[in-house]
Amino acid sequence: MTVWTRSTRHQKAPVRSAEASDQKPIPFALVERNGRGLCLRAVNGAAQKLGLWRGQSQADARAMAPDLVTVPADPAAEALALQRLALWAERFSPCVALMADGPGVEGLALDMTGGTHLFGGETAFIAAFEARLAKAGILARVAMADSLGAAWALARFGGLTQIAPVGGAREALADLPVEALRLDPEAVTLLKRFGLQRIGDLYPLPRAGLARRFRGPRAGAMGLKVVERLDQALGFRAEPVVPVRPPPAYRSFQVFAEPITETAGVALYLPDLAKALAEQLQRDGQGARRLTLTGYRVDGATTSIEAGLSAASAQPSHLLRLLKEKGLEALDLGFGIDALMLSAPVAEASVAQQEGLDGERSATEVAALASLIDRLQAKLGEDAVQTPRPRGSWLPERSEGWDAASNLGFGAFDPVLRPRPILLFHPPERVEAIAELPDSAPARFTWRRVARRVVRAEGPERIAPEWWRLSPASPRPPRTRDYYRIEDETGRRYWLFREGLYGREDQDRTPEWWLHGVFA
Amino acid sequence: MSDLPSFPEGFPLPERGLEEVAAAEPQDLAAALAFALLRVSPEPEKGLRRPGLFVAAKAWLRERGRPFAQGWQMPTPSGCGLIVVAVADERQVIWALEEALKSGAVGGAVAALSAPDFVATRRLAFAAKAGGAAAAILRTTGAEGLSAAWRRWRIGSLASAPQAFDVRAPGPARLRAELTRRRDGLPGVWELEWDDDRRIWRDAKSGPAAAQQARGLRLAAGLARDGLDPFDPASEGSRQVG
Amino acid sequence: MGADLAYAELDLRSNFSFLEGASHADELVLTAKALGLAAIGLADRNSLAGVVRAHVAAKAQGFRLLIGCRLVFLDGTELIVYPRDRAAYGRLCRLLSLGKMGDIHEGAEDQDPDADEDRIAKGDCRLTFEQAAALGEGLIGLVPAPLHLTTKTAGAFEAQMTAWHRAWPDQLYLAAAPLRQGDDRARLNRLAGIAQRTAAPLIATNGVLYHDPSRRPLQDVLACVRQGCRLDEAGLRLQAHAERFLKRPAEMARLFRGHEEALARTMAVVDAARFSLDELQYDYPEEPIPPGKTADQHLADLTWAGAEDRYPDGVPAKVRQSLIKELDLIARVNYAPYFLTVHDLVTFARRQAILCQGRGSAANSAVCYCLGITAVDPAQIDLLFERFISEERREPPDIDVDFEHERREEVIQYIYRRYGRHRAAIAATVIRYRPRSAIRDVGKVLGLTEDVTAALANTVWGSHGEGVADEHVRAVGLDPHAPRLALALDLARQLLGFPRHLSQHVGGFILTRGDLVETVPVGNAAMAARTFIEWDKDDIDALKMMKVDVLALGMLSAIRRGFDLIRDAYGRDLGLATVPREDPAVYQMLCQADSVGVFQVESRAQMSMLPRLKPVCFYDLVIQVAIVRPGPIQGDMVHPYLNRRAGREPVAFPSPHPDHGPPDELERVLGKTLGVPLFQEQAMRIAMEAARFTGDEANGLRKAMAAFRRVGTIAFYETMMVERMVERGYGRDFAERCFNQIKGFGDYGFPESHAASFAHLVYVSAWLKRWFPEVFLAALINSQPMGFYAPAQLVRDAVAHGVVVRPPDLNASDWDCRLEEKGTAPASPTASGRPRRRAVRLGLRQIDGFRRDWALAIMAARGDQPYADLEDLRRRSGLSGAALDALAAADALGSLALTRRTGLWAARGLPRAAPAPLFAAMGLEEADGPAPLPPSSASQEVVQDYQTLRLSLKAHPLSFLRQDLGRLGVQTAAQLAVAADGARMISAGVVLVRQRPGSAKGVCFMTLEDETGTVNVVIWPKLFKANRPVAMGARLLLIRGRIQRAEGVVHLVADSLEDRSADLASLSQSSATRPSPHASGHRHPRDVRILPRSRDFH
Repeated sequence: MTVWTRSTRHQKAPVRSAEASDQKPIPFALVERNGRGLCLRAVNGAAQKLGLWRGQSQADARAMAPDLVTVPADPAAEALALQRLALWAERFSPCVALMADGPGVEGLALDMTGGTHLFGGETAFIAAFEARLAKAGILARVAMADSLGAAWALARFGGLTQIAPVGGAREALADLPVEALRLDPEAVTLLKRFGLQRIGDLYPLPRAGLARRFRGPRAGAMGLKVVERLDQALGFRAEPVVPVRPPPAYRSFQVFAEPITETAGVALYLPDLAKALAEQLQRDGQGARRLTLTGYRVDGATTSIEAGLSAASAQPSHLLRLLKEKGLEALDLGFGIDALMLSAPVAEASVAQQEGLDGERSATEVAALASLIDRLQAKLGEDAVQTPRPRGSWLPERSEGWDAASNLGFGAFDPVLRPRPILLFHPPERVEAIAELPDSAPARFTWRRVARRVVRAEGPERIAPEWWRLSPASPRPPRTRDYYRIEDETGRRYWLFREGLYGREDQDRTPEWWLHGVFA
Repeated sequence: MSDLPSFPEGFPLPERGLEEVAAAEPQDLAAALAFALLRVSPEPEKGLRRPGLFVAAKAWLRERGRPFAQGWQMPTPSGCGLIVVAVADERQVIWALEEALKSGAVGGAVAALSAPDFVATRRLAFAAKAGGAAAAILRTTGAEGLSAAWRRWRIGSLASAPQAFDVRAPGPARLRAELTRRRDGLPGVWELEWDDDRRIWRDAKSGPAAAQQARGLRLAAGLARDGLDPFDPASEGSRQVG
Repeated sequence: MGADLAYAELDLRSNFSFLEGASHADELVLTAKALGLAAIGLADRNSLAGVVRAHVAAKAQGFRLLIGCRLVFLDGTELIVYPRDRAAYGRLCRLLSLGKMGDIHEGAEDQDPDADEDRIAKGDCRLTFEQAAALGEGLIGLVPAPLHLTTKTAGAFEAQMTAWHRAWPDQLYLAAAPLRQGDDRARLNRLAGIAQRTAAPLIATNGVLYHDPSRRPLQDVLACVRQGCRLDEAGLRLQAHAERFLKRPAEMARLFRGHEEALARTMAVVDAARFSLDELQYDYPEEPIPPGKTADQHLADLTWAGAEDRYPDGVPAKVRQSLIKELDLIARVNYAPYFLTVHDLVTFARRQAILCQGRGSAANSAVCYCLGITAVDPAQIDLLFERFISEERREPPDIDVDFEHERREEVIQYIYRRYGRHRAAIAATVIRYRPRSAIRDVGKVLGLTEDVTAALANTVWGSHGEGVADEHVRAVGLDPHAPRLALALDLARQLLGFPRHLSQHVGGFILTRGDLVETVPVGNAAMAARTFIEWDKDDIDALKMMKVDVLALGMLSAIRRGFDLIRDAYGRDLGLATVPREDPAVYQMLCQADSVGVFQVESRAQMSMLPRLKPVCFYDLVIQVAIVRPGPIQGDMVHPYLNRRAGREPVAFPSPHPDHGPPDELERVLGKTLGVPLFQEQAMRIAMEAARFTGDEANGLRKAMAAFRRVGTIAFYETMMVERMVERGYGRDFAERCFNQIKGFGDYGFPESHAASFAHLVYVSAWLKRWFPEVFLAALINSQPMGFYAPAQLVRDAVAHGVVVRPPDLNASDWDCRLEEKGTAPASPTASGRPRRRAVRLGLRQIDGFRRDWALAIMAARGDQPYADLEDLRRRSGLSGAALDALAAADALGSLALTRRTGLWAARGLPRAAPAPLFAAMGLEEADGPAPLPPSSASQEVVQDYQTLRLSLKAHPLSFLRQDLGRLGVQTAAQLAVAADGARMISAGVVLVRQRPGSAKGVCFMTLEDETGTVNVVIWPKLFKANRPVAMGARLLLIRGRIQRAEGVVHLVADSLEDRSADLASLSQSSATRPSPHASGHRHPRDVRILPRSRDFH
């Protein structure tokens, strides 16, 4: 048996402001650019109520609802979301397939062969499934039939009918529109031109005669498709299902009556899971090279942690330690999980390991760096361990950003064409300076109470404020800076700037001098 | 730094292990940092591309300035990224440096410390060796007391030579490096100058740039107005105290 | 300090360096003059598009301007050039044309546009230094130094300078600008060294991008637009500071201390580059003048010969007088070649049987009538002003010629052939930032979300105006004072009027005697085989060059087809000038607003004006055309005119105080329009007569009115005009209304001379509709797309007028609609008493997606022998399967006794060329035959008619819903048309048109259609706002409201709206299929293509 679940609106409307979230629902749509310009790809309930529809052009929609909020669709994110949902659905069946037929009509196919009795029968199963999805905020319709095609049709077009009894597909489908056969729009158009609107209209037709009446670039294929889809739906022809991921060869599973909300709870069950998994591995003389611990959340998401093993292992204690070192806190339990799976997606015969190869940063180095950063961050805090990244700004203090370090990569700096100091004071330090008007380098300056005479100087390098970041509310709008590279009589080199242009900026505030950095 | 012949005669090449680099005076810290970076940039290791690490206490960063990566176009340890660790106190500086060195994950590390005790330097030297890394302790003031460092340096800033096309502008950075203690030979003093075209430090007294520089000087002198001094009170405009 | 210093800025870009320069040319000129610069040189990126404006501005200021160009070569190197004299300027134009066209087309004959794969794209300029050097004689060159000087880049630059210096035929300078990157001293020293060694003297510039530092934000925004990035991510691509502005000579001297001679050299360039645009002596082409004659003689000969033809019974004295006077004036201002050129084009068109008609002030002269340029008889209508050429202004006369829209290209290609592509090109149109585009681009750059920018952009109806007003911003729920938004609005205001790119003018041709490419750069247009110059209409005006507007008009195509059909079917020969004039039946028809399809007066606004204006003569049509326009509407002139016409208000002429002038000074201007100014000339004339504007002032006013001049000047003229009129004793109210009207004309000027030419086409098309409705219908459909109505409405209207319309059929239809004998069709009631009217057979062109060559194949193979069956059709015509499908789907196989479904089944069942092996593999080789296809219902047929033909001759979709609608109390359009004023009615119909004109303050006008006719609906803003999704989205609308009836115009004023679109979806369902209860999986009913979309204007 096959279960077809249909999720119409599983993409979450990104509610972007607080006031929008609880007030009356705002019409919202995801938009995408296609051959007809910007079109709605998916709409929320409020937008649907206003009569907006999927495929409508954004301009038309806006003419109807000027306050429509649109966000560009992110098909990659949608695909990912569907993928996540599919992984979550693995709790019902190890064989879950994606049916990404298009935006807003995505779905999942579950092979429930012999599986529904675990949930109290088909009707109960469908109810439970829909309820769980609804709890997670996903509107979905579940249908069940002998064939994938028939379940698909019922889920989308079946009305009140959600279950086709065994052997009853033909009757259940007869009144459904031909669209329910998963056909190309062109094929549907042609069928309708023949007056063939319902699937039942196709039953009395000669199949060959029907098939040959499809012409065009993909001529025969399209005609065959119609017949093939009909045959598949009626169960005359088998349809292969490609699961979202091959069921892991080794996995142990635990379902809880009450959702677990604490990491401690997970830790409690972990030894049993590890033991069960290790037994399976040992039985086959295998060791895990990669471990995945997956929690199935009540809100329809999954959370997992992964760990790689440098050598294949089937020792429960080793597996356990690895996961604990990894940190069970990394599991985001949300409102709780009601199932837990430990699997070994990669396993191999337990033999001696290979050494890391020369070349780029070898795997062991990456691992060593990662563990160093982890250790430093664990003890000193994430913000204490940073790595610089170019940020594309003329303002020195904005020109590089500091990210929390990770072993994934370092920002690459282009060679700097303008001299920059080795140490930068942030914030800059006030100095007293004497300089010729309007924009000469200072002749002398006093920094940290020490007067310095300038022997050599270069400048100015003029850097104006980033006007688009200004807020008119700010009491002191920033002014243009003139930077000078300066060497004093003792051979020390400094980076000074004067803030404010004589006669051009903010005339009632005299320019000020600052020291921003020191050169070697 | 592949262009090794540029180093002056007898200048010890950067290598793995622990050294101490001290600023001759607090104001020489920038020069000392630049030199420390040179010391922790050993010859590129085959197949190993390990990042560099700089660790200092937060108070130090506030007082002395924070590293500015674009100014570190001078040798970056192994030229492969930089990790900057800001910690609460010197105890943590030592801890972080030791962790980094012994992990083998970094190629070179500089730590800003005022006065590590001997035991700490012993541990750090051992960790550097174990991790195959070059490490330098950057000291704001002169090096006193016992240390397990392989070498001890005192760095002072030097006035630069005039710039090729602008006699009034600072020329390439220059510094004086005094090797006050070494375990494998005699102390010595060297003067180094930054070569911006080749991006290396070279002997300030020789080097290919010296000739070019002399030529540039002559050219600039011929073109610039005579007697133009930025501090000449006769120049137009009035003075301003700001 | 340094007052004796002379400096000229020679590295300067205006905003015609698109998305780079951030100041207008006049801003640069004014600022440069104020700062005491000796001169500026304008050098825009690969373009001379901005030079005329700059030239005009500089001339007005008495400031020295050098015309130059910044050549950006393919390898990224740059060279600024300034021509020494006219000849060098010519070479520069030739060079730029070369870069924009690839190679300059010397002869039009060898032109094969399609063969050129590498055709240079519009706006692109591909040049190398070598090409420039080859044409570089007399061009002074300035080489901008690279931005960063390192040992490596300086070396490379020095090598480049050495090579260029050797190759460049004229003086070459090294242009150095202080970049304030910290190393200016070193930079200048270093460049001075390079200059010395390469013998290209150092010259001072400042790389100017704007006139004032306050333009830096705008320049940053432009840079982002150009690079397609947001400000937040633009980073180092932006300038680091605001220094790229015009600086005083003393400041430049300070920045170049030690290199003062580099400053002095700018004056050497100024002295050497003497070329001025004033030297562009303009010469008319001489082609149309036969040898041995002068242009004036030839024009006189042609005119008098034409007069003989026009007036076979003798030229009326009045006309004779006009001709003498006009010819005299033309001779005096030397414009005969211009008239001859226009005459040449019109003659060509006539030879090719292309219908055309001239318009414009000069076109409605007696000379143009006699030359056949217009068909408006000067004897019949007395145009207000004989001043068809402005003698004082010395501007070329203005004649636009409309040609049949489908055949205008022939005329254009004739011009290229006759005058050569090197001497004829289309003028440019400068595409400028308007409120909508400005806010959109600025918003994108500032990182405002698309929602916000779209909301802001949408607040500007029609994209005209002076920017996004604060109240508009508040209206869409945004706070105009939020910092980012305020910034965006401010920048958008600054950006308004900035040129964005050049596009080709719709049809303005410029013709020269000499090589055009040596007068102005010519570049490829986006369209193949088209080239256009870099200057627009204003530039051409400013330089007093000759321009002929060659325009396309769909109605001319339709009228010509109409004449052809009448000749073929009824044997009567007609032309634009020979259609019987002043036929009362035609006016009677128009007075009843029976004007669907008639030129110009078919829109809803015009239709509701007709019964009120009640035109009874030709001049009434001239007024009718001009009155429904923004000018008269904004000037509040419509009601006074209508009232006076109806005698509800006395005709009076405002007059000045007796001390100031004769009381009838305006009567002469406004006499024909009952004292109400309706035409552009009248408004201008009031300025001259009543406000005593001088010729120059009037000219200034005219220029200020033109769209998108920056604000400020308009207010100046407003005060001037109103105050002067008040001073002279006119009422302030009248003066202000006159000025408002001038402002309204600014955007859509409609002079009487244009209105007269259009009115003639109104009359001719109305005459066709009145006497030959079947011809009119066929001609209109065959000229689609054009006009206001879709074929469905045209057919409905024709049927209502008794025309028999027949569906397309493979054995009866051609590609075009044609007329056929009526046969057994019942005689229509209105056609009685007239010769046997033909029926209209719809053409195969009406079938959606049907191709012309398919139709031609059907027609060719058919001959006199109809096709017997499908197999016969396919064998004889060789039609493809797709064509057979289309015929079947459109129900055009009726003469083969095939319905849509059976036809399609049969067409698709025809034996294949080769059997598909797949079929055999699937075991599908069964016998074929007729299939048990479900029968189709009448409503399904109608829906499918609409889907394939966009109309149905069988029934209106509403007729199937009538019963259900009747139960809801819905009345038909016919019932509404006779309902009493104030009656409460319910109406339902398909939405044909939605309009929310900007001038109507949020009122929405809608036209609904049912099987009995159309209903005009008015929706007040409050109701619209409350029901916006329904009002804007519904395809089928049910409206409850009140009848409003006035002066023969009936409106339904809506009280409530109901979306009934879902009812339409039910039409396509056969009775056997019940609608699915679970509808959310289906497409939305509006998505179902039952009917063509409405036409929405908002």
